[in-house]
Amino acid sequence: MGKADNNKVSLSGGAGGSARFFPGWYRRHREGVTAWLLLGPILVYFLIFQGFPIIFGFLLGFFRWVGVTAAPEFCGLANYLTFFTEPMYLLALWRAFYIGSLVMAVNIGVGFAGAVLLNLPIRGRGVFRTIWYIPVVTSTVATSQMFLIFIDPSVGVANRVLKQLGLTPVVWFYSTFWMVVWIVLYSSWRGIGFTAILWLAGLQAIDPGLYEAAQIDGAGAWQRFWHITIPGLKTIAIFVLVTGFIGALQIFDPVLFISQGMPWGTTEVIIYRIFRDFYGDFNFGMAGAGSVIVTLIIVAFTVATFRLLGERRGL
Amino acid sequence: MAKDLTKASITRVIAIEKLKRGLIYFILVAGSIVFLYPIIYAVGVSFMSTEEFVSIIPSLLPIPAEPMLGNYRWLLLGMGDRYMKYYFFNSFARAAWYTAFMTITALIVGYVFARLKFWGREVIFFALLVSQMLPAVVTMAPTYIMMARFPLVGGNNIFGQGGSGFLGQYPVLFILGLTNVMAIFLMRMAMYSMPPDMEEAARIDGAGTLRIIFQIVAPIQKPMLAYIAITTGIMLWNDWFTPFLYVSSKRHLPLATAIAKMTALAVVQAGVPRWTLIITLGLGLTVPCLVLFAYFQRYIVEGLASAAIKG
Repeated sequence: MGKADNNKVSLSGGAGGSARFFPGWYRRHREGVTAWLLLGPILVYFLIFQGFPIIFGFLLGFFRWVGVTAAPEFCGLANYLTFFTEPMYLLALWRAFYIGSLVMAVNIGVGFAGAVLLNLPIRGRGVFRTIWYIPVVTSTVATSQMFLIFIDPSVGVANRVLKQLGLTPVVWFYSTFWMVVWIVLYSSWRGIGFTAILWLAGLQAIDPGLYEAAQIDGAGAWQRFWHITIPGLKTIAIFVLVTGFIGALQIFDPVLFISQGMPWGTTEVIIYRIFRDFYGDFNFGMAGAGSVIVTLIIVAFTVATFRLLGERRGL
Repeated sequence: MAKDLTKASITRVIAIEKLKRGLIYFILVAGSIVFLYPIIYAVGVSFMSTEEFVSIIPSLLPIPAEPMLGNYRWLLLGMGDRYMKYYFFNSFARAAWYTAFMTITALIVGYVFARLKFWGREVIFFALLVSQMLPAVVTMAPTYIMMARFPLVGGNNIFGQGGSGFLGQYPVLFILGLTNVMAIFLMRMAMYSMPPDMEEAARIDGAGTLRIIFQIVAPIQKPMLAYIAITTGIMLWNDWFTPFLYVSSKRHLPLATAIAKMTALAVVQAGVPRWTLIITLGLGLTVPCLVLFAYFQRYIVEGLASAAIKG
């Protein structure tokens, strides 16, 4: 790739064949040639390993295809019809929506409160920020197991606390409600730090001069909060909401490790359902149809948000 | 604040301030306990045998009656599972390879998109961003089929028939998902805010593009590079999913996947998972990340902040 050197010395030194044969063309286009030489290999890789699967994925839903070695068979919209007629799928979609929204609500709310506190000039602020962020860098595989031992019906801490309070212990795994609660708790435990840091970045991006000016004008703490902090956070709020919703709809790891869709599939969320179609049943057509629908929802949501807000930021 | 500063009102203001401060600390400490609790609990449990863990009356802080190191012998010395060293090696190899590859490509490609003018620049960049916006699930099954039917690999013929392709092949752990569009995007953004004077001076002195990237741009962009490297490293160290899908031989598994296979499957198949062992292995997975994070947290927080504001 070094052949694309942008200088005349290496040009005359025979750095590029193109330079010798098309000197005029090369001189006019050498920036483009350099760019394409550097970009080319990555783009080729990208087209094969990202581009192709995306196009392939959009076609997959139109085929009846069970098993890796089986031959795909065109079946039109049959898989999509199954998605909308088999209640399992729409229910899973709905569950992803409401479990994800619960997680998002807790993350955004607690994360915001945390960010406001972590932004105050107090001692040990850095230590608190670190600790709040720690769960984010942990592995879902590892920490979900730590939560699982809390809710073990016989040896878990959760039931211990209930017994101490004189209440009846609960077999959490039998109850849809409690499984959802634990999934939300785990996801929030792991996600609050991330949202808090995002909010914190937003708070710190607000011009401190505004606060000083407001203080001089006699605005109280709450007034400053409502009239400077909240409007100043608009950009970051959009970012948190959009990425939060996209992530929420794709909730998967916590469900797989904590409830595995139990009890009786009532905590099965859409990505988990697609994963089961794909890896459990090797029903590629159904998995393809499901993921296209999720993709369309996410794209529609993102585009609609940016349209509504009139934001043009290239994302 | 215009207030009559009598002595009584001053003491009252100070008392309120103290109360406020106390409340803030209380919330922050309570939050910190919640965030650290599972990890502290896991450390306690990791010194127990499964028998002890099952027999104790569960308490908020599990303190082993007679601490035993059996779980750690399993984790660190590979006693009980002789593939332990492979798990660690595979985790480390993947994290190192992806980190190096993604960081360097983000630097080069980010520079190309930020500074060089060429035909198709905006279109290609937009296509990359759009592909990033799509959820990962859309490529999950297609990539799997593509890997299984990859031509001329794993006994497949040129049409991808006859063999099992990349399934169960070790290299598959190192070839998927090598383009990190988010990193490229952030790199490009970071380069926009960089004055072009030094690059121009170097160019006049006869430096080539790659030389400019590595000798002038890279040192300036150290914080962003560090952010990309650390987040990629942690992400790949924690990635259990790709190996879970593609390889099954214990020799090929990274630690995260090995744990995942012990848990999700153990619950279904064997009934009682070996809690204390799983927890200890989980710590073996978590602690390196925590150390790395503690050491580089400034870069992570700053990088994330700029990502959020620019993204």
